[in-house]
Amino acid sequence: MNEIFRRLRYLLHRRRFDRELANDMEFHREMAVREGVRFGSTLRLREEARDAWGWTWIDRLCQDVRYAARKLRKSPGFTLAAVLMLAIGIGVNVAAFGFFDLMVLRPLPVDDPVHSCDFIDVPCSVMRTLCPIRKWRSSANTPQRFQPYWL
Amino acid sequence: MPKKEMPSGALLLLILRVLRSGPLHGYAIAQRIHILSSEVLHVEEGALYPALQKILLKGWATSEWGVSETNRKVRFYRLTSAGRKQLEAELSSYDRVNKAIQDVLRTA
Repeated sequence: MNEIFRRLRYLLHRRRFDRELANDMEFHREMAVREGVRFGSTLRLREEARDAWGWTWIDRLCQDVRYAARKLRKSPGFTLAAVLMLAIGIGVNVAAFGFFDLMVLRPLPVDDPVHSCDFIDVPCSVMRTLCPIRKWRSSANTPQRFQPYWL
Repeated sequence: MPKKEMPSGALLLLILRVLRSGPLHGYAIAQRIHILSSEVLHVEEGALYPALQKILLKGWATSEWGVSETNRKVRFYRLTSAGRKQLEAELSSYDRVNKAIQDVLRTA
């Protein structure tokens, strides 16, 4: 658990820890040179040591993103085509699903949508006779069953 | 002077053991291992600093600023109690493996 916090600390204060590491290695190099021992490239060694912090992937990811942005800026025609294609593709799909959802998936806003019935092309007077909604609604034993709903 | 690389597990064990006598900076750790091993073991910088970073990350040691023999600001690594415990654990497991290898070498 503590290790995760320490790892996060290394991520947040990367620059400071990197400077400290650089200082360590610079010192090591000075001493090694004094003893006449060869010392490798501090930059490469520092990178290897930083690997231990486990955040190298973030640096790589940033590099990749920057590279991609640079490439896209260089060829605006391709960028425009790609963006349009994605926009249209996603937009059409969202619209189609929205319509499908409205018509098919979403249940009617009534308690018992399975037992709903349609009155199509029925004159108002006939409908009032067939389906005296106001009366049913007011009767005490079927309070919830009948609800008028107009699309 | 013969130089030998060592497996990273052994390096961790040696660093922890060397730090038990007191806080040291990176160069001194490498030097001490080199000298105490009668100049047989040579700690590469490319192995030492990743190992030290790992030790810091695991909380086995903390680093603090100090001044070197050459009057230069440098980080000293100090063993923590968790590091001491880890050292004990690694020592006992090393002893077990070492004994097992010796047994095989002697009897096979």
